[in-house]
Amino acid sequence: MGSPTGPQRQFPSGAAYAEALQHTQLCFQHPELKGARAELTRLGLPRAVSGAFASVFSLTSAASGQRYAVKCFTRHVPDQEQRYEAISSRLALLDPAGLSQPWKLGFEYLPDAVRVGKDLYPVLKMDWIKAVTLSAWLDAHHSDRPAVGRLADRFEALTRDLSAHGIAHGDLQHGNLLVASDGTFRLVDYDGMYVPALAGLGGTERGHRNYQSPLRGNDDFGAELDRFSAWVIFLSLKAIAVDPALWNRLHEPSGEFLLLTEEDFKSPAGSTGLRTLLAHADRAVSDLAEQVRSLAFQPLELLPPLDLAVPGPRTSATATPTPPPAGATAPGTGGLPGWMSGHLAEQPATTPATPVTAPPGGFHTRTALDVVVAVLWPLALIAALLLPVARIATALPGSLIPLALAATATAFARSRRTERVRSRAALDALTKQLAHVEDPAKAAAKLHKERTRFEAAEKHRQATYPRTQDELTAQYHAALRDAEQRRTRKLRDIAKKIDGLSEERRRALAKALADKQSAYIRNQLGRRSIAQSPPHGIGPKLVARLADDHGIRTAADFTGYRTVQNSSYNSTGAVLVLPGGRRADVRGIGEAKAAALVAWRQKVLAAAVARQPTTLSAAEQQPVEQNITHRRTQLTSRHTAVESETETARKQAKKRLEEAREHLARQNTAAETSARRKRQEFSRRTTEIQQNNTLHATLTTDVEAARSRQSELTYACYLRFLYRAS
Amino acid sequence: MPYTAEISRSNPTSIIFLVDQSTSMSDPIGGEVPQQKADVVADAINRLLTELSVKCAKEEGVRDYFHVAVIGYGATVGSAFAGSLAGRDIVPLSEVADNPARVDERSKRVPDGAGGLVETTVNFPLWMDPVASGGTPMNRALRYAENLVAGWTERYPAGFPPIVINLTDGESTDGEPSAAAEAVTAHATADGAALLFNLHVSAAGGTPTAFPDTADGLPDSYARTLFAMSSPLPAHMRAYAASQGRRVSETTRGFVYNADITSVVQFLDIGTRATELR
Ligand SMILES: Nc1ncnc2c1ncn2[C@@H]1O[C@H](COP(=O)(O)OP(=O)(O)O)[C@@H](O)[C@H]1O
Ligand SMILES: [Mg+2]
Repeated sequence: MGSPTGPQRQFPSGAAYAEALQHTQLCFQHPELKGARAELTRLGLPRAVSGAFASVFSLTSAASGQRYAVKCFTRHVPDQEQRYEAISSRLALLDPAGLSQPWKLGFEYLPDAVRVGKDLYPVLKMDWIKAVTLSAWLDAHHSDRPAVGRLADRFEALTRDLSAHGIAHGDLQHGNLLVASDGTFRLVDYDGMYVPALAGLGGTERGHRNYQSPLRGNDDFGAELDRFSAWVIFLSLKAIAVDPALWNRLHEPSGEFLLLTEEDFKSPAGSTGLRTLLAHADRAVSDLAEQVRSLAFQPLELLPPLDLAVPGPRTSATATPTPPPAGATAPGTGGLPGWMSGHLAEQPATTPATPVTAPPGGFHTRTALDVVVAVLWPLALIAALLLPVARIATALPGSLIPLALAATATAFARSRRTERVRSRAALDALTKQLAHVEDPAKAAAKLHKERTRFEAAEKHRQATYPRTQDELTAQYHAALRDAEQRRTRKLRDIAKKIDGLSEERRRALAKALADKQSAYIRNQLGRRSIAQSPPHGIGPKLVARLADDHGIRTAADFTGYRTVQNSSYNSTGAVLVLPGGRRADVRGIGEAKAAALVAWRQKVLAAAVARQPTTLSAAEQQPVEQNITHRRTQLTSRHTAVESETETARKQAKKRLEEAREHLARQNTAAETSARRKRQEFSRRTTEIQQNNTLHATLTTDVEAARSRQSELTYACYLRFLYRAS
Repeated sequence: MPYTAEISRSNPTSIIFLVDQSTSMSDPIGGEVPQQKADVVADAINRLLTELSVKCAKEEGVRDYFHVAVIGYGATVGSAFAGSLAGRDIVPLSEVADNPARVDERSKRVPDGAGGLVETTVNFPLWMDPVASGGTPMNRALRYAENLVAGWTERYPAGFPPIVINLTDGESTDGEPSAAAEAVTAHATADGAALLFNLHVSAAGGTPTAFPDTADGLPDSYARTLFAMSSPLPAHMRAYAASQGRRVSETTRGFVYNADITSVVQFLDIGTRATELR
């Protein structure tokens, strides 16, 4: 497999290393590794942790008992030894005391250290680090907000350590950032590390796709290599520290990312992750998300380092008690919601709560009229008693007249009392007011009904949204699948035709040769004239007759003969067959002469066949080749056309998806806004009902009171008032 | 671009091996030390399963980037797994990795570092045993695979499409297989049509050919048929084949004729090369 010294050297596979490491006594020469004990799998093979470029094995030295992580490379990395040397000497200059945390990994690059088969390969011998990957750590600790906050700050400090020395790791991601049990970072995998001494060399890898700027290219290699990934990781950690539920919401179990993926950076509009963070209620999260979104479209060298953009002391993340994120529902974080203040100020004004001053009950203070009426009654009584005696009256009813007068006067006087007028007015006013105030019980029932109906509709709408999103995605995938199926079918047809071309070429060449040969033979036959060497039995006369009467001059002018039954009884004659099938009945040529002629022609033919050309000249082949080449070119360009058609179809499907998603998102936002308004309206109505409730109760009591006062102003009460001692 | 879907645990892909187990697979192939074809093929698949397990091993264990089926066809058509996976069709890689039928100790001569060779043994996990009996029901095998492919593309409509790898010594005994092969590759995910690769181990002789882009030069109609059935190699596999020293072109097919033992392993390695495991 390839030359072991060439620049593109082939490397053993992970399984080949796992086999070799079954005998560390044989495969290693280094004193620490020779005979070292490899950690094994259940099957008894050395346990590997594999990445894209290498497999890492755990080996415990037989000599020192020291445990190592030994990285065996499965791919060629240009200038690997030089790179590791430069990295090693640069890192050696870093004073551990000057670092934010002990992230630095001790390692030694050993060229030609492991034997696999006949050949020797390098390994990277590293100190074994007891720590877990960042993703595993978050699985276990994401709900410990202070711890995640601290980790975010430590991460920021780590990036400052690196940038302070002009170093970039190159592949910052959850698998290369290990977290030790004390919550500090260990940085592993220095394969793609940039140190200033490597400035001239290119990059070796592009880093994990879920952490890189869409603009990072193969050749990017410099001190700012980590910036985008640093922002992505910092945003993720901060967001989780603020809102631990995000981990379960955006991180798929065992997904190869934290909260955001490549999709989020490439098309933020259509992705859920970044959109969720952008819309987060906590400003710290949404601002960082905004930052990441804008960074995705800036050239790498223009990206700001993480430390420049972290405002204030970095302890803020751990210390700030962050409020739970408010959803779209009513804000209820204590105090009054902002929208209410205005309403509350207006509220008393809008309610018709002007209290009606109720008059004290009963009649008070006699007027002159009252006095007159009071005097009238005794006089009327006396008159009523005296009139029958004095026979003034003519009839019995006549004696009741004075009493009737007194009663009428009393009724008149009562009606003139202001108490009655005022009380009536008060009752009327109160009743009218009460009629204006909506019955709170009814209003509450109505509101409740509306609210229930609304919330049910909202719930349905919210449940439909992700389903519609999924449907859009499924439609998109189906469109892509259809495009792929069309593509495969068309390409297969084209491939079949291309495969058929060589057969076609063979046939065309064979035909060209056959044509050439028959032309040659026709020509040869045409050159042999019968007159020059007539066959036996054909005299000059016959030759002349053949030529003159029938145009038969050469071997090319006839092809055979047929026997015919002569019209004259019982004799057999012959006719010559001409090219094209016509027949010539030549006088004087019977069967024998015809046979002789044909035999002569046969000999001529055999001689021609023996000398006929058996190959085509290059010039003769050319039209065939040209035709085939033309067809091949056509098919190839059809192939290209199919590919670009497919690409267009895919792009269109993608565009449709993005548009539909955006449309859906806009619709959703609008629906959310109107839902919020509706809920505000409900809350406003609730407070209104509460206030009305009090007012309604007051008014009802007042009406009751007014009624009872009204009942104190009857005729009897008035009579009693007239004679009451005041 | 098709065939660029990220292969992840939530979007895994499946690899379906179809292994010819007909009587003729007991014929020998290979150079100095001839081996039975059936042995070579079984060895290659066992080795590849170990390879995949190591490639997908992470700190917490083997990740299910792939789900694997090994289907034998000869006297019968069905799962060729032995041991506790017997009878199973598509199995997640982590389960495959943990459940070989057995682990053999194979003797091996290894350089001792001092210029000599020493005899040692290595642990060699085995999932399938070589079998050679019966006809070559390639149509049935392809239809069996189609069934698995159809189920898979429905389950993972956006993932990297399934890869079917057919290892055979030649002529189908249940009819011309082209239509059944087309039916396999007619299934597709959003990332591309299912891939069908063929490894032809023939007794007909002729020049060994790897990843050709034309049927010219193939010795017989069986080889040409298998070539025509094979999918073009996706770009990343082409690139990998090229890095392995193979000559490839835009229309290179996943087809190998009369490869030697190393090439069989390499063919499987190229044919199962993932875009990127993340
Ligand atoms: N020194 C080490 N100590 C312990 N585990 C390590 C060490 N180096 C690497 N690892 C583990 O191996 C994994 C892969 O190693 P890494 O160097 O990142 O390889 P790759 O370049 O293939 O990603 C890491 O994610 C980590 O879990
Ligand atoms: Mg790594």
